[in-house]
Amino acid sequence: MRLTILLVLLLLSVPFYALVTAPLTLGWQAVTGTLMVISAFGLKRMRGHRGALAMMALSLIASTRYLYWRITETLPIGPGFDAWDLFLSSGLLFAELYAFTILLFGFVQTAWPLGRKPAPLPEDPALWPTVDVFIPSYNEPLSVVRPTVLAALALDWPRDKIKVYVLDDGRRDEFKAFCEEVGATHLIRPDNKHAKAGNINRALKVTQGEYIAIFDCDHIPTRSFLQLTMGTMVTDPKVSLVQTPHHFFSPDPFERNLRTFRKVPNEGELFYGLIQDGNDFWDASFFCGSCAVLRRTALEEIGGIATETVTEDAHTSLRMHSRGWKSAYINIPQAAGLATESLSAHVGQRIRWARGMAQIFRVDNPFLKPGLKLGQRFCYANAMMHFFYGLPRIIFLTSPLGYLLLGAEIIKAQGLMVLAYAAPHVILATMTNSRLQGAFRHSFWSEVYETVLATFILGPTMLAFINPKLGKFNVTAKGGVVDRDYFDKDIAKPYYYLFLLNALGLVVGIIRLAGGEAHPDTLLLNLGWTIYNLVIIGGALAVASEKKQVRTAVRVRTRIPGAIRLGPEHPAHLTPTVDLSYTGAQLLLPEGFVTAVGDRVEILLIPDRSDVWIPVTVRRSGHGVVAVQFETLGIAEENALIYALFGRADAWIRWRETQAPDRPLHALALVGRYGVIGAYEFWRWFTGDLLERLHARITRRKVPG
Amino acid sequence: MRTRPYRWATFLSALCLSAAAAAAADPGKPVSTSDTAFLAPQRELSFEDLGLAYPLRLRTVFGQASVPLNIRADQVVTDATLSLRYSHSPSLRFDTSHINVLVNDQLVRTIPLTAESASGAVAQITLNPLLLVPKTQIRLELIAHYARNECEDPTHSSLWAEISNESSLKLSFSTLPPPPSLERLPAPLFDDGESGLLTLPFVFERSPTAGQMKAAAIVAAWFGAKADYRGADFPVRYGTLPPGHGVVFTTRAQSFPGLDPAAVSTRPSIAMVENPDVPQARLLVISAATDEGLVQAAQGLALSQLLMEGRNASIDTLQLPEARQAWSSGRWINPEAPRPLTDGALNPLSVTGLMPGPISFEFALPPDLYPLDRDSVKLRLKYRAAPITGANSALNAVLNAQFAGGVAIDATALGKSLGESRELTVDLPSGVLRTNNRLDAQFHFRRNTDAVCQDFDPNSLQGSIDPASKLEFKSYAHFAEMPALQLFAQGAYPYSRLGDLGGTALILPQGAQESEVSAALILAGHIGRWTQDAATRLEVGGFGNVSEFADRDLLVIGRAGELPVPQDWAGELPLLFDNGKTELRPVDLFDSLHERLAGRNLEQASEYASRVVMQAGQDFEAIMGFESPLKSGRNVVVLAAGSQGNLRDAALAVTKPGQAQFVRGGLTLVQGDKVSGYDLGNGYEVGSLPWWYGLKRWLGLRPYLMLPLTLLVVLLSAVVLRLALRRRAELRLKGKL
Repeated sequence: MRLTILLVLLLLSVPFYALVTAPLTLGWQAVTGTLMVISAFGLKRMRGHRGALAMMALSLIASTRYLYWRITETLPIGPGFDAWDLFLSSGLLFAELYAFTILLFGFVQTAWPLGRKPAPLPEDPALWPTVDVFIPSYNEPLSVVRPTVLAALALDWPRDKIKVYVLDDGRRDEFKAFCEEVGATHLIRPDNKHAKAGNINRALKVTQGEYIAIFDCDHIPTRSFLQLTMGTMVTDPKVSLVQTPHHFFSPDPFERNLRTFRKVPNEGELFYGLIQDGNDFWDASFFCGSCAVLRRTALEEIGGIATETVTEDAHTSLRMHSRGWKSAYINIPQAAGLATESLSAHVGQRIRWARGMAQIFRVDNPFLKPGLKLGQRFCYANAMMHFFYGLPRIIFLTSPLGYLLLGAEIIKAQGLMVLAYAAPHVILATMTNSRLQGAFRHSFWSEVYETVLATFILGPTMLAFINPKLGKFNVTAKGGVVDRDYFDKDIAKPYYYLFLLNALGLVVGIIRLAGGEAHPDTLLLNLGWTIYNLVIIGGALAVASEKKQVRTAVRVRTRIPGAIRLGPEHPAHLTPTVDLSYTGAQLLLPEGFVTAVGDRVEILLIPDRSDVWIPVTVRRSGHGVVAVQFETLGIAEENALIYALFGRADAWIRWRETQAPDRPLHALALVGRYGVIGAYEFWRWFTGDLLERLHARITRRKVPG
Repeated sequence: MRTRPYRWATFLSALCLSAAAAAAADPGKPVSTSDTAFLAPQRELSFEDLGLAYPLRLRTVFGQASVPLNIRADQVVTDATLSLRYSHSPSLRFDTSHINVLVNDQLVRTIPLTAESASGAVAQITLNPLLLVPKTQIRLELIAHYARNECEDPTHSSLWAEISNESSLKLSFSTLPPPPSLERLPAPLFDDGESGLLTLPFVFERSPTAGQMKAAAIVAAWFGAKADYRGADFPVRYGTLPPGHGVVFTTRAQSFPGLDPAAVSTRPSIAMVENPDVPQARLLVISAATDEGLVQAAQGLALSQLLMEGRNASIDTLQLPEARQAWSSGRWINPEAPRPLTDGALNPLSVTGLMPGPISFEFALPPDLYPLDRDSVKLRLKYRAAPITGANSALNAVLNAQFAGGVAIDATALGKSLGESRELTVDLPSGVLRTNNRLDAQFHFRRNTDAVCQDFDPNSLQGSIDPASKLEFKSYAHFAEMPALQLFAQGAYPYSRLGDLGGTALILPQGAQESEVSAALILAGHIGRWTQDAATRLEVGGFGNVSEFADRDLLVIGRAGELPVPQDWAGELPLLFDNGKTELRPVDLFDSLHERLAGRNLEQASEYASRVVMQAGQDFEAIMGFESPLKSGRNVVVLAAGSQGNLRDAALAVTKPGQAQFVRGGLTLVQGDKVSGYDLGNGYEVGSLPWWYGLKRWLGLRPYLMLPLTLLVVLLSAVVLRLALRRRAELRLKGKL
């Protein structure tokens, strides 16, 4: 069977080769390309994996064909071209080769998302293993850590087989007191060596649980977390890691500044929704630092969490995989946290990831590391190489300028020929990715996400690639709540230079076009490319326009059963919530329940499971809704709230229901809209702020004169 | 194809110090002469006859050019007069301007230029006949000035003179034939002093047998090789001796009355005797008791295994050399081990002066050399140029009169001193490469004009091509898209592949007439010209035994309707001969559609050809190329003539440069001087391509298959991958992976 399949694939490689290399005239290439795109619309209707695989094959043919042509026919070598052309051209070619590699690896990675179901635990809880829950913390305030600890203590697991540890590198007394109060163990160590990794490694030495569940201190687990993950561990003794998604219940800076929260999939969803699931097929899902269970024996075999890189999580996984341990991914959100608050904080976090991945690529390159299987090498390599997009992205954003501004002949081909080869490649890749990833990442959004980060991760990744010790960068996180709308010009600086440069290219190009040009098709192609770049950079500028955050505690729109009463002696009215946060709630106003602002009443969340009435103050009432604010909560009340808010097994499952499916052209239109908005906001800032200052300087100079 | 089609080589005025050597390699235009012409006591040769297709233009203050004149070794010039027709710029200073005429570097006349002669004049110059040796150079120098006291631009546009190519040379000869001897073979039958077509009658007792034909073809190929670019015509006579030189094949002394019986031997032998009818003429007699003996004698001659002394030579045992490998003949450049480019140099490798002529090289590529890449044939031209050249000086590489590449060589690029050669690398365009190629390295010198009236010596401008210059071949195949009669005309492909013609069979009708035998011999000479090798393994067959030669490429000669080929071949030929009617085979519909994709219109070509055939009636000849019905990958070329046509015309069309360029495609029609070639589809391929190239070429020729094949690959791989991946996913979920 296996041999037959290999043989068929080998046989198919012959026509594949011919399809990639056959020389065609412009007309035939255009016809073939168009027909391929039309066929893709047909294949799109094909259900299931077969359709997805067919689209991957089609896209791969078009892209490989383009690249073959690009390399064999269009390099500016020979008379009429100089070293400068060749330099710029090899830059672009490098970027294209990179994009092709990522496309190919991506196809391998997401060829078959495994969709693993949780495995059942033994009937008899006495047979369940012991688990240590680690909650490392360094400088986060107790208010952040509190719900996590409480939720961890509420995990469904035999009480005698679970221990919750707060690994406090801040060595704070209030943490110690809190732990003692709620029944967690407060662990400290004399130094902060190797940060989080060192913290966990130290805790490993003083604990004994067979399994270790790790939660970042702001990731609040649902109570079913261990029920869903431990089955896999118990069934298969070779599994070293069960990872679950990281879920964020507050908007990240993209979602907030573009107002796409719960409408367009956010940056993380592609990774946790699809890529990790695809990785699982190849036994390559890796540890993401939180919301995961690890096997102590596996961890101890590799000497604990890896400390050589700043992304210790993926590195640890890589080591376990190379020792023959397996991993599993359960694609059900079983913990939730707050997204990064501001764009600068977000950028800072991504720089760390990018740098860490580049470090691993250097220290333990997945292609060279012994013990890995081929699929694992592909998946790890893609995860790491993904973060090298900085340079290619900047090259794509500036390439047409080489032609428009510098007059360099970067591609030795007619504009129409380039179009005939490149258009099927780009369109089919977009369509295929939309088919594969549409539910987790809308078309063209990668461009925006990557463009925002490209300039920031370029340096750290390059430096870390040259020497893993280099590349430590710090972005000043604005931190806290964004309390007003403003244009974060520090973060936006790279894009506005890129934007101005592209705008200049556009203007020069139009002037050249008006002045009559020998190759209008080439010029038009470059102009089109420049306009596209302007839109994408505009999108990045829109992200940099920070929008004011209005809340103190994030309100989660969720409908859960509840009850409200005026007091213990009054009748309870069953009514569901509209939304819920750590400080308050909104419920539907039940019929016959009369109250006024300022009244003190009580609510009960999830009456089926709880009998803890929470005292609240009415803040608003009317229009069928009553809004209440929690008063000071005791531990019991807080536990009830945490359970209702974060702890339900299904708390985060229907999260994506409000998202529209991906339609590439709509996505392009939306991204285009943000491009225009971003350009406008930038322009307003540029003319308002910058010119005002300039004006001020001029007038100041005039006064003494 | 002419080996030396570039007659204008010598008329570019050159400050070339050894112009004689340059021109010696340039033979000029082939002039058709009858087989007794050499006996004429007086000849008038125009410069055009000597190889100048265009008038000579002399430029600059000191411009020169030379005209080559070759004289047969057995003739002595007794009287010579040169009529020089010239005109020149009217703006010269006539007191200091003149034209020098030199013969073999001896000044014979100085012609002063006057205002009257500017619009044209003729100078009659009597030449000392003693100066006219077998290889003679007539050199013309222009010394011209336009300025008296002001400084002069040596390249000023008013400095010119023109020598008409209608200028002529009247020569009187005395023929002094030496006693008959084999020593000087092929002279006097072929003398390389003749620049025209070699005409050499072949004489048989009667219509030759296959063996005699083979012997004759071997000899014809040998003469063809000797005559080379001049081309060779072999008229045929049965039973009578020619009125001049000739080659006689005989098994009996009595066959030809008057022939010296001593020349005829029963042993395989060759002899040189006087022609009894024309005492100055010589006959090469090839004789033996049997046909096999004749073949052996011919092979001995072609392989130079005979002792060429005295009048007779015979050979009793002959050891044939091992069978030749493809393209092993010295004519072709072996792409595996290309010889230095300068082996084919036509003139000295160094030039001097303001407007030097090109440094030219010739090289022949196997006709089926198929470049697989744009840079398959790379020229590495190593050059030196005196580093005093002015701005915009350049060295250009010109391939077959088409610009191929160049490099700036002004002093700023070269630096102050130059001690080693620099390299100009050119990817020779495959579309311009032919079987026989000429590469010109043309220096364009500019003098430095920064300062006015600067002292300047044009002789300090020098350039040279290094002998280390070479051609490099990579990524090529031996492959040809057939039918391609152009490759037959220019390179004798496919017959020239094996130099000993081990892959060739000549098929003639039973009792072939003189014209048919002659056509066959002309073609044998044509092939020999290209192989430059002994055609020892040629086979000759007839109607009855064509199928014996299935493994060979066939060359079939015959009259329409009586072609010596099997009846069932009728459908394969591009022309159908039916009861005195000639028709074109209809164009294959699929072929037609397919070719239309490549922008060729077969119907139109077919229509033109039909019209030509119809108008010609029976007065036409046809050359047809197609794949051998006996074995795929083998070729057939058929020479056929209508009942009023002369097969010799078709054969000569293949060899004569003016006509050969129109021989092409799968069908070439010859009607007197008119030659037209047509592509009519039915293509086939000869040779092999590497699989990786063959595959992409195959699909590239069928672009309509791109989409169906894509969908097939896409769907098949989707199905197979799904099976494979699903299996893996199941295993993985079961915990087995």
